[in-house]
Amino acid sequence: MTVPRVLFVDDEPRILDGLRRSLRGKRRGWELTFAGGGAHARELLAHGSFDVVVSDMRMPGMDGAELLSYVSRNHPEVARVVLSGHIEPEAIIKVAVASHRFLSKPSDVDGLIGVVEQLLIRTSAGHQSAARRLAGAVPAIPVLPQNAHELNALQAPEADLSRAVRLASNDIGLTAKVLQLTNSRVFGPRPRNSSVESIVHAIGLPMIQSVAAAGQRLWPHDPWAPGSATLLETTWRHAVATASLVEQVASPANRPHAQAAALLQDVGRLVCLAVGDGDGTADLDLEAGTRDGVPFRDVGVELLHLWGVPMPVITAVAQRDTPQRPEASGLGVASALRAAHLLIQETDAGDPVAGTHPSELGVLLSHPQLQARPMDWRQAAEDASRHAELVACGSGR
Amino acid sequence: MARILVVDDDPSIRSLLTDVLKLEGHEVAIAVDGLAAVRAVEAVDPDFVILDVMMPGLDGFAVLEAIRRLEGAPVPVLMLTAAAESAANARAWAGGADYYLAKPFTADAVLDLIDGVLAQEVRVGDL
Repeated sequence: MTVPRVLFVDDEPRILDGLRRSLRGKRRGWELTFAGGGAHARELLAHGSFDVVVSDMRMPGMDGAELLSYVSRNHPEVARVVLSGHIEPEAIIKVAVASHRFLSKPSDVDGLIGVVEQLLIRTSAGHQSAARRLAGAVPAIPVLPQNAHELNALQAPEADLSRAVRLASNDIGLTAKVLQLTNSRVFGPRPRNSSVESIVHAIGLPMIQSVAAAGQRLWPHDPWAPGSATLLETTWRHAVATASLVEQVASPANRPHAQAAALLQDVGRLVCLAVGDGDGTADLDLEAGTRDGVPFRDVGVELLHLWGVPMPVITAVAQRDTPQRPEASGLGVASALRAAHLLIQETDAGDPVAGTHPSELGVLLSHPQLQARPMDWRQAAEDASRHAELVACGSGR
Repeated sequence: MARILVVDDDPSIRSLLTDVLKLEGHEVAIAVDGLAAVRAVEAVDPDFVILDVMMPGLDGFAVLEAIRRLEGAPVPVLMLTAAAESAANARAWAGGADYYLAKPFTADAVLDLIDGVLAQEVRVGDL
Protein backbone atom coordinates (compact mmCIF):
# COMPACT_ATOMS: atom_id res chain seq x y z
CA MET A 1 0.00 0.00 0.00
CA THR A 2 1.23 3.47 -0.83
CA VAL A 3 1.89 5.91 1.99
CA PRO A 4 -0.97 8.42 2.40
CA ARG A 5 0.10 11.98 1.63
CA VAL A 6 -1.39 14.92 3.48
CA LEU A 7 -0.77 18.58 2.67
CA PHE A 8 -1.22 21.27 5.35
CA VAL A 9 -1.57 24.90 4.31
CA ASP A 10 -1.35 27.85 6.71
CA ASP A 11 0.27 31.26 6.47
CA GLU A 12 1.28 31.21 10.14
CA PRO A 13 4.55 29.32 10.63
CA ARG A 14 3.65 28.89 14.30
CA ILE A 15 0.54 26.86 13.37
CA LEU A 16 2.43 24.71 10.87
CA ASP A 17 5.16 24.05 13.45
CA GLY A 18 2.52 23.08 15.98
CA LEU A 19 0.93 20.67 13.51
CA ARG A 20 4.29 19.19 12.56
CA ARG A 21 5.17 18.63 16.21
CA SER A 22 1.86 17.19 17.33
CA LEU A 23 1.49 14.93 14.32
CA ARG A 24 5.04 13.62 14.34
CA GLY A 25 4.60 11.26 17.26
CA LYS A 26 1.09 10.24 16.31
CA ARG A 27 1.39 9.51 12.65
CA ARG A 28 4.26 7.48 11.37
CA GLY A 29 2.20 6.17 8.48
CA TRP A 30 1.57 9.46 6.71
CA GLU A 31 3.81 11.58 4.56
CA LEU A 32 3.24 15.14 5.75
CA THR A 33 3.92 18.22 3.63
CA PHE A 34 3.56 21.81 4.78
CA ALA A 35 2.91 24.90 2.66
CA GLY A 36 2.99 28.50 3.86
CA GLY A 37 0.38 29.73 1.40
CA GLY A 38 -1.94 29.02 -1.51
CA ALA A 39 0.62 29.59 -4.25
CA HIS A 40 3.12 27.21 -2.67
CA ALA A 41 0.35 24.64 -2.15
CA ARG A 42 -0.64 24.82 -5.84
CA GLU A 43 2.94 24.20 -6.83
CA LEU A 44 3.21 21.18 -4.56
CA LEU A 45 -0.09 19.78 -5.85
CA ALA A 46 1.08 20.13 -9.43
CA HIS A 47 4.15 18.03 -8.75
CA GLY A 48 2.92 15.32 -6.46
CA SER A 49 -0.22 13.38 -5.72
CA PHE A 50 -1.89 14.03 -2.38
CA ASP A 51 -4.76 12.26 -0.67
CA VAL A 52 -5.94 15.07 1.61
CA VAL A 53 -5.35 18.81 1.84
CA VAL A 54 -6.00 20.63 5.12
CA SER A 55 -6.10 24.40 4.73
CA ASP A 56 -6.61 27.51 6.80
CA MET A 57 -9.28 29.91 5.53
CA ARG A 58 -7.85 33.36 6.14
CA MET A 59 -4.55 33.75 4.34
CA PRO A 60 -3.07 36.72 2.49
CA GLY A 61 -3.04 36.41 -1.29
CA MET A 62 -4.96 33.32 -2.22
CA ASP A 63 -7.30 32.51 0.69
CA GLY A 64 -8.41 29.05 1.74
CA ALA A 65 -11.70 29.11 -0.16
CA GLU A 66 -9.91 30.12 -3.35
CA LEU A 67 -7.23 27.49 -2.92
CA LEU A 68 -9.73 24.71 -2.19
CA SER A 69 -11.93 25.71 -5.13
CA TYR A 70 -8.85 25.49 -7.29
CA VAL A 71 -8.13 22.03 -5.85
CA SER A 72 -11.68 20.89 -6.50
CA ARG A 73 -11.40 21.87 -10.17
CA ASN A 74 -7.87 20.71 -10.84
CA HIS A 75 -7.32 17.91 -8.33
CA PRO A 76 -10.79 16.56 -7.52
CA GLU A 77 -9.28 13.33 -6.18
CA VAL A 78 -7.77 15.23 -3.23
CA ALA A 79 -10.12 15.39 -0.21
CA ARG A 80 -10.46 18.93 1.18
CA VAL A 81 -10.58 19.98 4.83
CA VAL A 82 -10.85 23.49 6.22
CA LEU A 83 -9.05 24.02 9.52
CA SER A 84 -10.01 27.48 10.61
CA GLY A 85 -10.70 29.78 13.51
CA HIS A 86 -14.08 31.42 13.97
CA ILE A 87 -15.98 31.64 10.71
CA GLU A 88 -18.41 34.49 10.06
CA PRO A 89 -21.86 33.36 8.95
CA GLU A 90 -21.24 34.91 5.50
CA ALA A 91 -18.13 32.77 5.07
CA ILE A 92 -19.86 29.51 6.02
CA ILE A 93 -21.22 29.17 2.50
CA LYS A 94 -17.76 29.61 1.01
CA VAL A 95 -16.49 26.85 3.30
CA ALA A 96 -19.47 24.66 2.48
CA VAL A 97 -18.82 24.64 -1.23
CA ALA A 98 -15.01 24.64 -1.19
CA SER A 99 -14.35 21.92 1.38
CA HIS A 100 -15.61 18.47 2.23
CA ARG A 101 -15.06 18.74 5.97
CA PHE A 102 -14.61 21.54 8.44
CA LEU A 103 -12.58 21.68 11.65
CA SER A 104 -12.39 24.69 13.92
CA LYS A 105 -9.16 25.96 15.46
CA PRO A 106 -7.98 25.22 18.02
CA SER A 107 -8.72 21.63 17.11
CA ASP A 108 -7.42 18.73 19.16
CA VAL A 109 -4.96 16.65 17.21
CA ASP A 110 -6.99 13.47 17.67
CA GLY A 111 -9.98 15.12 16.03
CA LEU A 112 -7.82 16.21 13.11
CA ILE A 113 -6.25 12.75 12.75
CA GLY A 114 -9.72 11.20 12.92
CA VAL A 115 -11.02 13.32 10.05
CA VAL A 116 -7.96 12.75 7.88
CA GLU A 117 -8.11 9.00 8.54
CA GLN A 118 -11.77 9.05 7.55
CA LEU A 119 -10.95 10.73 4.28
CA LEU A 120 -8.19 8.22 3.51
CA ILE A 121 -10.92 5.56 3.31
CA ARG A 122 -12.39 5.13 -0.17
CA THR A 123 -15.83 3.54 -0.05
CA SER A 124 -16.03 2.12 -3.57
CA ALA A 125 -14.86 -1.48 -3.68
CA GLY A 126 -14.06 -1.60 -7.38
CA HIS A 127 -13.44 2.00 -8.36
CA GLN A 128 -11.70 3.64 -5.44
CA SER A 129 -9.90 6.51 -7.10
CA ALA A 130 -12.35 7.03 -9.98
CA ALA A 131 -15.30 7.30 -7.58
CA ARG A 132 -13.28 9.66 -5.36
CA ARG A 133 -12.43 11.83 -8.36
CA LEU A 134 -16.03 12.06 -9.60
CA ALA A 135 -17.48 12.69 -6.12
CA GLY A 136 -14.66 14.97 -5.02
CA ALA A 137 -15.30 17.47 -7.80
CA VAL A 138 -18.88 18.13 -6.69
CA PRO A 139 -19.25 21.41 -4.72
CA ALA A 140 -23.03 21.12 -4.45
CA ILE A 141 -25.78 19.06 -6.03
CA PRO A 142 -27.41 20.95 -8.89
CA VAL A 143 -31.03 21.94 -8.57
CA LEU A 144 -33.48 19.66 -10.30
CA PRO A 145 -35.55 21.41 -12.95
CA GLN A 146 -38.67 20.26 -11.07
CA ASN A 147 -37.60 22.14 -7.96
CA ALA A 148 -36.10 25.29 -9.48
CA HIS A 149 -39.32 27.28 -9.13
CA GLU A 150 -39.62 26.45 -5.41
CA LEU A 151 -36.00 27.36 -4.82
CA ASN A 152 -36.53 30.74 -6.47
CA ALA A 153 -39.60 31.31 -4.33
CA LEU A 154 -37.49 30.66 -1.25
CA GLN A 155 -35.51 33.82 -2.02
CA ALA A 156 -38.66 35.98 -2.20
CA PRO A 157 -39.29 38.53 0.58
CA GLU A 158 -42.44 36.72 1.71
CA ALA A 159 -40.63 33.37 2.10
CA ASP A 160 -40.89 31.90 5.58
CA LEU A 161 -39.41 29.10 7.62
CA SER A 162 -42.23 26.66 6.93
CA ARG A 163 -41.62 27.01 3.19
CA ALA A 164 -37.92 26.39 3.80
CA VAL A 165 -38.68 23.25 5.81
CA ARG A 166 -41.03 21.93 3.13
CA LEU A 167 -38.53 22.66 0.40
CA ALA A 168 -35.48 21.26 2.20
CA SER A 169 -37.33 18.06 3.11
CA ASN A 170 -38.10 17.47 -0.57
CA ASP A 171 -34.89 18.73 -2.12
CA ILE A 172 -32.04 16.29 -2.56
CA GLY A 173 -29.30 18.92 -2.85
CA LEU A 174 -30.43 20.98 0.15
CA THR A 175 -30.82 17.89 2.32
CA ALA A 176 -27.31 16.75 1.46
CA LYS A 177 -25.76 20.19 2.05
CA VAL A 178 -27.56 20.74 5.34
CA LEU A 179 -26.42 17.33 6.61
CA GLN A 180 -22.86 18.06 5.52
CA LEU A 181 -22.78 21.37 7.38
CA THR A 182 -24.39 20.13 10.59
CA ASN A 183 -22.26 17.02 10.79
CA SER A 184 -19.12 19.08 10.28
CA ARG A 185 -20.26 20.98 13.40
CA VAL A 186 -20.37 24.25 11.49
CA PHE A 187 -23.41 25.20 13.57
CA GLY A 188 -22.19 23.76 16.88
CA PRO A 189 -22.11 20.26 18.34
CA ARG A 190 -22.90 17.37 16.07
CA PRO A 191 -26.58 16.47 16.37
CA ARG A 192 -27.50 12.89 17.24
CA ASN A 193 -30.18 12.00 14.74
CA SER A 194 -31.88 15.25 13.85
CA SER A 195 -34.35 15.45 11.03
CA VAL A 196 -33.75 17.88 8.19
CA GLU A 197 -36.83 19.69 9.46
CA SER A 198 -35.36 20.30 12.91
CA ILE A 199 -31.99 21.29 11.44
CA VAL A 200 -33.66 23.88 9.23
CA HIS A 201 -35.50 25.25 12.26
CA ALA A 202 -32.23 25.42 14.18
CA ILE A 203 -30.13 27.19 11.54
CA GLY A 204 -32.84 29.60 10.44
CA LEU A 205 -34.18 31.04 7.20
CA PRO A 206 -31.29 33.32 6.12
CA MET A 207 -28.77 30.48 6.32
CA ILE A 208 -31.03 28.12 4.33
CA GLN A 209 -31.56 30.84 1.74
CA SER A 210 -27.79 31.29 1.38
CA VAL A 211 -27.18 27.55 1.10
CA ALA A 212 -29.88 27.24 -1.56
CA ALA A 213 -28.62 30.25 -3.50
CA ALA A 214 -25.06 28.95 -3.46
CA GLY A 215 -26.28 25.63 -4.86
CA GLN A 216 -27.97 27.45 -7.74
CA ARG A 217 -25.01 29.73 -8.48
CA LEU A 218 -22.51 26.91 -8.74
CA TRP A 219 -24.03 25.23 -11.73
CA PRO A 220 -24.94 26.55 -15.15
CA HIS A 221 -28.64 26.93 -15.92
CA ASP A 222 -29.10 23.44 -17.35
CA PRO A 223 -26.19 21.22 -16.34
CA TRP A 224 -27.90 17.94 -17.16
CA ALA A 225 -26.74 15.42 -19.70
CA PRO A 226 -28.80 15.34 -22.91
CA GLY A 227 -31.65 12.85 -22.75
CA SER A 228 -31.73 12.66 -18.97
CA ALA A 229 -34.90 14.70 -18.33
CA THR A 230 -37.22 11.71 -17.82
CA LEU A 231 -34.73 9.92 -15.60
CA LEU A 232 -34.33 13.04 -13.43
CA GLU A 233 -38.08 13.34 -13.04
CA THR A 234 -38.39 9.65 -12.11
CA THR A 235 -35.48 9.83 -9.71
CA TRP A 236 -36.91 12.77 -7.82
CA ARG A 237 -40.44 11.43 -7.63
CA HIS A 238 -39.15 8.08 -6.41
CA ALA A 239 -37.01 9.76 -3.76
CA VAL A 240 -39.83 11.96 -2.46
CA ALA A 241 -42.32 9.07 -2.41
CA THR A 242 -39.89 6.76 -0.58
CA ALA A 243 -39.04 9.47 1.96
CA SER A 244 -42.73 10.01 2.63
CA LEU A 245 -43.39 6.27 3.08
CA VAL A 246 -40.29 5.46 5.11
CA GLU A 247 -41.46 7.96 7.71
CA GLN A 248 -44.09 5.35 8.57
CA VAL A 249 -41.91 2.28 8.06
CA ALA A 250 -38.91 3.31 10.19
CA SER A 251 -38.96 3.33 14.01
CA PRO A 252 -38.98 6.74 15.74
CA ALA A 253 -35.25 7.12 16.36
CA ASN A 254 -34.34 5.72 12.94
CA ARG A 255 -36.84 7.91 11.11
CA PRO A 256 -34.65 11.00 10.52
CA HIS A 257 -31.81 8.98 9.03
CA ALA A 258 -34.20 6.81 7.02
CA GLN A 259 -35.88 9.86 5.50
CA ALA A 260 -32.54 11.42 4.60
CA ALA A 261 -31.38 8.12 3.08
CA ALA A 262 -34.59 7.87 1.05
CA LEU A 263 -34.15 11.33 -0.37
CA LEU A 264 -30.45 10.72 -1.06
CA GLN A 265 -30.79 7.13 -2.34
CA ASP A 266 -29.93 8.12 -5.92
CA VAL A 267 -27.79 11.16 -5.25
CA GLY A 268 -25.00 9.46 -7.20
CA ARG A 269 -27.19 9.36 -10.30
CA LEU A 270 -27.88 13.10 -10.03
CA VAL A 271 -24.23 13.92 -9.55
CA CYS A 272 -23.24 11.81 -12.55
CA LEU A 273 -25.95 13.20 -14.81
CA ALA A 274 -24.81 16.74 -14.03
CA VAL A 275 -22.14 17.22 -16.63
CA GLY A 276 -21.88 21.02 -16.31
CA ASP A 277 -21.49 22.88 -19.56
CA GLY A 278 -21.36 19.60 -21.39
CA ASP A 279 -17.83 19.67 -22.66
CA GLY A 280 -18.36 16.10 -23.79
CA THR A 281 -15.74 14.56 -21.53
CA ALA A 282 -18.19 12.60 -19.36
CA ASP A 283 -18.61 9.03 -20.52
CA LEU A 284 -22.20 8.35 -19.45
CA ASP A 285 -23.99 5.03 -19.81
CA LEU A 286 -27.59 5.58 -18.70
CA GLU A 287 -28.50 1.95 -19.33
CA ALA A 288 -25.74 0.54 -17.15
CA GLY A 289 -25.96 3.45 -14.71
CA THR A 290 -22.29 4.34 -14.92
CA ARG A 291 -20.11 7.36 -15.56
CA ASP A 292 -16.57 6.72 -16.73
CA GLY A 293 -17.33 3.09 -15.92
CA VAL A 294 -18.11 3.83 -12.25
CA PRO A 295 -21.60 2.86 -10.99
CA PHE A 296 -23.71 5.91 -10.05
CA ARG A 297 -24.28 4.36 -6.60
CA ASP A 298 -20.53 4.18 -5.89
CA VAL A 299 -20.19 7.87 -6.72
CA GLY A 300 -23.13 8.77 -4.49
CA VAL A 301 -21.86 6.77 -1.52
CA GLU A 302 -18.39 8.27 -1.89
CA LEU A 303 -19.91 11.75 -2.01
CA LEU A 304 -21.91 11.19 1.18
CA HIS A 305 -18.80 9.82 2.86
CA LEU A 306 -16.67 12.80 1.77
CA TRP A 307 -19.37 15.13 3.09
CA GLY A 308 -19.42 13.38 6.46
CA VAL A 309 -23.11 12.41 6.32
CA PRO A 310 -24.02 10.10 9.26
CA MET A 311 -22.99 6.50 8.83
CA PRO A 312 -26.50 4.95 9.05
CA VAL A 313 -27.55 7.12 6.08
CA ILE A 314 -24.51 6.11 4.02
CA THR A 315 -24.97 2.41 4.80
CA ALA A 316 -28.63 2.52 3.81
CA VAL A 317 -27.85 4.27 0.51
CA ALA A 318 -25.01 1.83 -0.19
CA GLN A 319 -27.33 -1.14 0.43
CA ARG A 320 -30.41 0.22 -1.36
CA ASP A 321 -30.13 -2.47 -4.03
CA THR A 322 -28.84 -5.23 -1.73
CA PRO A 323 -31.45 -7.79 -0.60
CA GLN A 324 -31.96 -7.34 3.15
CA ARG A 325 -32.47 -10.03 5.76
CA PRO A 326 -33.12 -8.03 8.90
CA GLU A 327 -32.72 -9.61 12.35
CA ALA A 328 -35.81 -10.01 14.51
CA SER A 329 -34.28 -7.34 16.77
CA GLY A 330 -35.26 -4.58 14.36
CA LEU A 331 -35.26 -3.27 10.79
CA GLY A 332 -32.77 -0.49 11.37
CA VAL A 333 -32.33 2.23 8.75
CA ALA A 334 -31.11 0.10 5.83
CA SER A 335 -33.93 -2.45 5.88
CA ALA A 336 -36.53 0.26 6.46
CA LEU A 337 -35.27 2.07 3.36
CA ARG A 338 -35.20 -1.13 1.33
CA ALA A 339 -38.77 -2.02 2.40
CA ALA A 340 -40.06 1.46 1.53
CA HIS A 341 -38.17 1.44 -1.77
CA LEU A 342 -39.59 -1.96 -2.77
CA LEU A 343 -43.12 -0.87 -1.81
CA ILE A 344 -42.78 2.29 -3.91
CA GLN A 345 -41.46 0.17 -6.78
CA GLU A 346 -44.97 -1.28 -7.12
CA THR A 347 -46.52 2.18 -7.59
CA ASP A 348 -46.41 4.88 -10.28
CA ALA A 349 -43.40 6.36 -8.47
CA GLY A 350 -41.39 3.20 -9.11
CA ASP A 351 -37.95 3.52 -10.63
CA PRO A 352 -37.92 1.42 -13.82
CA VAL A 353 -34.18 0.87 -13.52
CA ALA A 354 -34.45 -0.90 -10.15
CA GLY A 355 -37.27 -3.40 -10.84
CA THR A 356 -39.57 -5.11 -8.33
CA HIS A 357 -38.78 -7.88 -5.84
CA PRO A 358 -42.12 -9.20 -4.56
CA SER A 359 -40.81 -12.18 -2.60
CA GLU A 360 -38.18 -10.17 -0.72
CA LEU A 361 -40.79 -7.49 -0.05
CA GLY A 362 -43.11 -10.17 1.35
CA VAL A 363 -40.43 -11.27 3.81
CA LEU A 364 -39.72 -7.68 4.86
CA LEU A 365 -43.42 -6.95 5.39
CA SER A 366 -43.74 -10.04 7.59
CA HIS A 367 -41.11 -8.65 9.98
CA PRO A 368 -42.61 -8.34 13.49
CA GLN A 369 -41.79 -4.62 13.54
CA LEU A 370 -44.10 -4.01 10.58
CA GLN A 371 -46.62 -6.71 11.49
CA ALA A 372 -47.22 -4.99 14.83
CA ARG A 373 -48.63 -1.93 13.11
CA PRO A 374 -52.21 -1.96 11.81
CA MET A 375 -51.19 -0.66 8.40
CA ASP A 376 -52.04 -1.53 4.83
CA TRP A 377 -48.52 -0.98 3.54
CA ARG A 378 -49.42 -1.19 -0.12
CA GLN A 379 -52.12 1.42 0.35
CA ALA A 380 -49.63 3.61 2.24
CA ALA A 381 -47.23 3.23 -0.71
CA GLU A 382 -49.95 4.34 -3.16
CA ASP A 383 -50.64 7.36 -0.95
CA ALA A 384 -46.93 8.23 -0.81
CA SER A 385 -46.68 7.92 -4.57
CA ARG A 386 -49.60 10.31 -5.01
CA HIS A 387 -48.06 12.68 -2.47
CA ALA A 388 -44.86 12.76 -4.52
CA GLU A 389 -46.83 13.49 -7.66
CA LEU A 390 -48.53 16.43 -5.92
CA VAL A 391 -45.18 17.74 -4.69
CA ALA A 392 -43.88 17.56 -8.25
CA CYS A 393 -46.94 19.35 -9.66
CA GLY A 394 -46.97 21.96 -6.89
CA SER A 395 -43.41 23.00 -7.52
CA GLY A 396 -43.25 22.55 -11.28
CA ARG A 397 -45.39 25.58 -12.04
CA MET B 1 -18.18 7.26 23.14
CA ALA B 2 -21.83 7.30 24.02
CA ARG B 3 -24.00 7.91 27.08
CA ILE B 4 -26.19 4.89 27.64
CA LEU B 5 -29.08 4.59 30.08
CA VAL B 6 -29.72 1.10 31.45
CA VAL B 7 -33.19 0.57 32.95
CA ASP B 8 -33.79 -2.72 34.75
CA ASP B 9 -35.02 -3.71 38.19
CA ASP B 10 -32.83 -6.84 38.12
CA PRO B 11 -29.41 -6.01 39.63
CA SER B 12 -27.66 -8.87 37.82
CA ILE B 13 -28.75 -7.63 34.39
CA ARG B 14 -27.83 -4.08 35.36
CA SER B 15 -24.34 -5.02 36.41
CA LEU B 16 -23.77 -7.30 33.39
CA LEU B 17 -24.77 -4.52 30.98
CA THR B 18 -22.87 -1.85 32.91
CA ASP B 19 -19.69 -3.94 32.83
CA VAL B 20 -19.71 -4.71 29.11
CA LEU B 21 -20.73 -1.19 28.12
CA LYS B 22 -18.01 0.40 30.27
CA LEU B 23 -15.47 -2.01 28.81
CA GLU B 24 -16.41 -0.64 25.37
CA GLY B 25 -15.74 2.85 26.68
CA HIS B 26 -19.35 3.97 27.06
CA GLU B 27 -20.62 6.13 29.88
CA VAL B 28 -23.43 4.31 31.73
CA ALA B 29 -26.34 5.74 33.70
CA ILE B 30 -28.63 3.47 35.71
CA ALA B 31 -32.31 3.59 36.55
CA VAL B 32 -33.81 0.90 38.78
CA ASP B 33 -37.47 1.56 38.03
CA GLY B 34 -39.75 3.22 35.51
CA LEU B 35 -40.17 6.53 37.25
CA ALA B 36 -36.43 6.95 37.69
CA ALA B 37 -36.01 6.04 34.01
CA VAL B 38 -38.29 8.80 32.75
CA ARG B 39 -36.50 11.33 34.96
CA ALA B 40 -33.10 10.05 33.84
CA VAL B 41 -33.92 10.40 30.14
CA GLU B 42 -34.59 14.08 30.69
CA ALA B 43 -31.69 14.64 33.10
CA VAL B 44 -28.98 12.57 31.38
CA ASP B 45 -30.02 13.05 27.73
CA PRO B 46 -28.70 9.59 26.80
CA ASP B 47 -27.64 8.56 23.28
CA PHE B 48 -29.23 5.14 23.71
CA VAL B 49 -31.67 3.55 26.19
CA ILE B 50 -31.79 -0.14 27.16
CA LEU B 51 -35.22 -0.65 28.67
CA ASP B 52 -36.56 -3.70 30.49
CA VAL B 53 -40.27 -4.35 30.00
CA MET B 54 -41.15 -6.11 33.24
CA MET B 55 -40.70 -3.76 36.18
CA PRO B 56 -42.83 -3.12 39.24
CA GLY B 57 -44.71 0.18 39.16
CA LEU B 58 -44.28 1.97 35.86
CA ASP B 59 -43.38 -0.81 33.37
CA GLY B 60 -41.25 -0.54 30.25
CA PHE B 61 -44.19 0.14 27.95
CA ALA B 62 -45.27 3.09 30.07
CA VAL B 63 -41.70 4.40 30.16
CA LEU B 64 -41.47 4.09 26.36
CA GLU B 65 -44.71 5.99 25.98
CA ALA B 66 -43.40 8.79 28.21
CA ILE B 67 -40.05 8.93 26.40
CA ARG B 68 -41.75 9.18 23.02
CA ARG B 69 -43.77 12.16 24.21
CA LEU B 70 -40.59 14.15 24.91
CA GLU B 71 -39.62 16.94 22.54
CA GLY B 72 -36.49 16.84 20.42
CA ALA B 73 -34.78 14.11 18.43
CA PRO B 74 -36.12 10.71 19.58
CA VAL B 75 -33.59 8.65 21.53
CA PRO B 76 -32.96 5.10 20.24
CA VAL B 77 -34.61 2.55 22.54
CA LEU B 78 -33.79 -1.17 22.83
CA MET B 79 -36.45 -3.12 24.74
CA LEU B 80 -35.72 -6.29 26.69
CA THR B 81 -38.30 -8.87 27.72
CA ALA B 82 -38.09 -11.87 29.97
CA ALA B 83 -39.42 -14.40 27.49
CA ALA B 84 -39.77 -14.60 23.75
CA GLU B 85 -43.34 -13.52 24.18
CA SER B 86 -44.87 -12.36 20.92
CA ALA B 87 -47.47 -10.15 22.61
CA ALA B 88 -44.76 -8.14 24.39
CA ASN B 89 -42.81 -8.01 21.16
CA ALA B 90 -45.73 -6.58 19.21
CA ARG B 91 -46.50 -4.11 21.98
CA ALA B 92 -42.91 -2.87 22.00
CA TRP B 93 -42.95 -2.27 18.25
CA ALA B 94 -46.34 -0.59 18.34
CA GLY B 95 -45.17 1.63 21.20
CA GLY B 96 -42.24 2.95 19.20
CA ALA B 97 -39.28 0.77 20.21
CA ASP B 98 -36.38 0.86 17.75
CA TYR B 99 -34.94 -2.53 18.72
CA TYR B 100 -36.10 -5.54 20.66
CA LEU B 101 -34.31 -8.46 22.30
CA ALA B 102 -35.75 -11.34 24.31
CA LYS B 103 -33.90 -12.57 27.40
CA PRO B 104 -31.66 -14.46 27.57
CA PHE B 105 -29.64 -12.24 25.25
CA THR B 106 -25.90 -12.12 24.70
CA ALA B 107 -23.81 -9.08 25.51
CA ASP B 108 -22.54 -9.21 21.92
CA ALA B 109 -26.06 -8.82 20.54
CA VAL B 110 -26.53 -5.65 22.59
CA LEU B 111 -23.10 -4.26 21.68
CA ASP B 112 -23.62 -4.95 17.98
CA LEU B 113 -26.92 -3.10 18.00
CA ILE B 114 -25.49 -0.09 19.81
CA ASP B 115 -22.49 -0.05 17.53
CA GLY B 116 -24.64 -0.04 14.40
CA VAL B 117 -26.88 2.73 15.72
CA LEU B 118 -24.21 5.04 17.08
CA ALA B 119 -21.44 4.60 14.51
CA GLN B 120 -20.98 7.99 12.90
CA GLU B 121 -18.09 7.35 10.59
CA VAL B 122 -17.35 4.92 7.82
CA ARG B 123 -14.90 2.20 8.78
CA VAL B 124 -12.86 0.02 6.47
CA GLY B 125 -14.88 -2.98 5.36
CA ASP B 126 -18.20 -1.59 6.60
CA LEU B 127 -19.83 -1.05 3.26
